[in-house]
Amino acid sequence: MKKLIPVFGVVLFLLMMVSTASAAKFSIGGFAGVNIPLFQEDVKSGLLFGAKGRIAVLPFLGVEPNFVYSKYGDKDFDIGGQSMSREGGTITSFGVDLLLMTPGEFSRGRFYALLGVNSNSLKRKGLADQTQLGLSLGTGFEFLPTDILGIEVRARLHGISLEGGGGRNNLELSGGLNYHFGKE
Amino acid sequence: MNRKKKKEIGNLIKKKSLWGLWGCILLILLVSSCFLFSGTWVIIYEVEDANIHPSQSFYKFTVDLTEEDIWKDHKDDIDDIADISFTFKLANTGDDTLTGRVYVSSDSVLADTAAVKSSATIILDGITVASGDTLQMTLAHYYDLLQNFDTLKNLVKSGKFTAYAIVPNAPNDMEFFDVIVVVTISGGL
Repeated sequence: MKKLIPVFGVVLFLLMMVSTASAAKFSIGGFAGVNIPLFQEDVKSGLLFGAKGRIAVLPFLGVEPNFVYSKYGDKDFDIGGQSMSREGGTITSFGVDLLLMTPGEFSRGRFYALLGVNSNSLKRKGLADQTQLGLSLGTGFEFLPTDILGIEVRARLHGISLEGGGGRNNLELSGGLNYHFGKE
Repeated sequence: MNRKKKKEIGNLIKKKSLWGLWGCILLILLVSSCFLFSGTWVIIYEVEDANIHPSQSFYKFTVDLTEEDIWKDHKDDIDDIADISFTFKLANTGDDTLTGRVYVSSDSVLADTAAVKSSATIILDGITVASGDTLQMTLAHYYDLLQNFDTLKNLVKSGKFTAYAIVPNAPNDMEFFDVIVVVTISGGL
């Protein structure tokens, strides 16, 4: 993961430069929320947080490199009448989402749908770490009370393939703030 | 080139780009359908005390998941074994501290400790119980001692395997009981 952080930083910097050069609208933001496992009996919901940049390459199309760190909550099992807890584990994800946005500003806000790919590092006590491909799709809304500040809420389905087959699917509900540069 | 023509070309490019975009989206969704429609299920398998057999310096029991309802419901869609854990109690009734190990094998008729050590795979090492104490192997403690998870996973995938608990002086100076195996399977919905 430590190796990926500089790579992510360089990508973000390059995107900023490209964005500035082409005078496209660009924003950076942070968010936090809850990670809800879907159809997974062995883990519980946990917290997530992350950061992202967004370039509006076209008025209706955005590209969004992102980093998300999410946790699964520990799961309690009733084992022989005794409650025992299994640690949930963590996911560190780096990816790029493509956003289809409502063009322009609609009552100082915009809706969008997203689809993306990501690389996910899964860690859980007792199991070997694995880095796997993931996909994300979802929807969100960004409210822009000023030209530079956006308040955003998002629901993102995040599916991650597993080494031996199958996968883990999570619903990520988050809210955050974006700071905008440039003009559309 | 006049402005109208430029606009027409621009619209054409935009249209083609959009079709390309939708094509990519469809392709990604098709490729990912195998793991986007997956889930995990947990089987809590209690080994009857009567099925724990003491033998020359070891206890053994066979786990048969194939008779479990969850296994039966998903047996055709199992992609992987996502997690496996053992919990049990080990009582030391002797005067000395016990040290124990747990092995697993697809062979349920290993005759002695030498056969277990050479043929089976060790998954837990470093279990210690002081004289007169009873150890409760919790999930947290289990993962501190676990090794060879991949071999264990492949054994469990077959649905049936045998575990051997080896301790010096067993079975006279110890009791091995309340064995429960927790298996998480991963598969299609």
